[in-house]
Amino acid sequence: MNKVNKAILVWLEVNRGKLTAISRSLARVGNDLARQGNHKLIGALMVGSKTIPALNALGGLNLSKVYIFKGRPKTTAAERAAALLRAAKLTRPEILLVAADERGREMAPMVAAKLGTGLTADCTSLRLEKGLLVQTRPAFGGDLIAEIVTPTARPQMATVRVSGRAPGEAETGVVAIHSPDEILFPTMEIAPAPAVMGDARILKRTPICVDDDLEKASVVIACGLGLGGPEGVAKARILAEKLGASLGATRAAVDRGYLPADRQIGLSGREISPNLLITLGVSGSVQFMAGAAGAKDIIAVNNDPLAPILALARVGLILDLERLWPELEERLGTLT
Amino acid sequence: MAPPPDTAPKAKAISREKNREARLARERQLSLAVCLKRVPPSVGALSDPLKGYVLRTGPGRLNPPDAAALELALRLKDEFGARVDLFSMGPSQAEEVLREALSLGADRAFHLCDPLLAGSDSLATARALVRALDLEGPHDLILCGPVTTDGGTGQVGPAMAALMDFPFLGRVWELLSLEDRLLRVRQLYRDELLETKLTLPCVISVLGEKFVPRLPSVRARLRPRLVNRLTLEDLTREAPKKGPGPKGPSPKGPNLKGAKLPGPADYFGESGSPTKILKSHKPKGPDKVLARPTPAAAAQVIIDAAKKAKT
Repeated sequence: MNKVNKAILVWLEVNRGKLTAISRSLARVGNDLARQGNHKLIGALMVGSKTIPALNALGGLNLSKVYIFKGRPKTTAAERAAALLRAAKLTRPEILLVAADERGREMAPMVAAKLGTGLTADCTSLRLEKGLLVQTRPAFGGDLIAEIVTPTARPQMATVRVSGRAPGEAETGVVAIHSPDEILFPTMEIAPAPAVMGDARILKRTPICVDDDLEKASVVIACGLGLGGPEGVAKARILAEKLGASLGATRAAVDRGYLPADRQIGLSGREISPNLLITLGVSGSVQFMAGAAGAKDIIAVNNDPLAPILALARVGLILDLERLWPELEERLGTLT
Repeated sequence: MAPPPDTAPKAKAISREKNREARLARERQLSLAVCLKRVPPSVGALSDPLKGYVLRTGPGRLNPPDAAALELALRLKDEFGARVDLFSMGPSQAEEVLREALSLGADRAFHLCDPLLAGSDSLATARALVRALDLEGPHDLILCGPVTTDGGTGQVGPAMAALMDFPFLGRVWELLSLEDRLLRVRQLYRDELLETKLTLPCVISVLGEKFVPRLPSVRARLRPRLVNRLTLEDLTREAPKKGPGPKGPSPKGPNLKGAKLPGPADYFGESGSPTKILKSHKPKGPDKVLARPTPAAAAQVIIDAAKKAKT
């Protein structure tokens, strides 16, 4: 891409005719950057052939334009990638953002490779510095923080860790206007889905009934093997209720049957981004941290001074849980 | 003693039939490629103070999620007699990871090893792997782990697929069937299980739960474990193979009219990586490790923080 436009392109996902909470958060991140750098904010999304996205959902995001690609009801990652690639070629943006969820992390590298540009994964913060997008990302499950730039290739692409907690306004269908110059309804351009390589077809999709409470929770308590057994887990569960927290677990704790598999946090489990993560008897393996790195604050309780989690947490409490329970009970009431 | 009159022709017929079957099997034989990475063992890895990227010459092991991709490939080999090729890019130490994987039953191993490849970002890594696959292929199915435990971008697999114009199936949870090059898999996402079919070739990433790695067999351990080394020169020397094989990106890159033709340095290694590390640092440590807090203080810290986080 030789000539670029002063624009930021964001990929948005629609689920059952509604813009997802993650997409709204991503649009907000894009909007903040757009204000900083005086960019236009452009959206691209793909809808199943019968779905028409609610105009309301797109209002208030301050998008100046949105490309809507009409796909099949079951779109594959490749189809979404082809749509985003088309939108990128049409808009030639300086910056292209995709949410760092499972789907975004699959499609963004395909688009970046096709464009021959750089892609920074799992950014936790973005800022503009001398016209360059400075992308901050954790590696090694948060043990290393790197700031990455794409000096010459364009667009500057990033997948962004955004919260599944809804920013609020669009969810109720009420559109909030932040300032007079905000664009309420973007220009829409509806286009057919571009062709993709291969004949991949989704034959069947089975929704997995997981509450998204873990993803949305502002406080999560993670149970590790250090809880010692069902009694410890029962206490953690009541503690979670009293603190208004969601309960998750490590792979090891799930394997022992402490909690069902759908509560697993980590590489092969769920990804959380709470304001506060409290870990109880969790050692803090890289695999666990892959799902927990989005936590803004971590308080870790572990009786092993060498547990890696103690170094990753903001507050590491080297303590036996057996000694902690009575103190918590004194303040919160019984945990049994 | 003369053999019973009718066994010899029968044996011949059987052996002919066996030969025919073997030939058919060879023609049908699947060619698989597994991409592996050697990663530092766990947290506490060192990074280069000047360049910011992770130092890869310290202790290391196979990236744990990659073991599932290898296991699925070996199961396909057990079932269909597929050939399993291994590819890994990294410093000389990465050879050990390839040898271990060979001892589990893989057939050939290719080690992309060249100081000029150091500092590759995910796109430059994908380009190098695709070139190696192109030289040693064609492959019907390319398998990789969903993510590494070090860089953790999960970008190399999908990027390779895009560069080869192959479809990519992520998070393969279960392989349902493979018949006449038609692959049916289940993909597990957080909120849904997808049943997907496609015709090979393709690139897939494999989840670990159903593909627990095997232990090395005695027979495989005894086989010579030769690792072929590929340098940047090897990767860029030959023109891409003609024929039905996967087409890699040309080392010359896209057709830029009038522009100076880019060389390998513009596509591989640190110089060919579009992203640059500005700086990297350890996150600022815990601002108050309460080494041996009183249980009362600890309880109060937890409750106060939870209250604050809720507001």
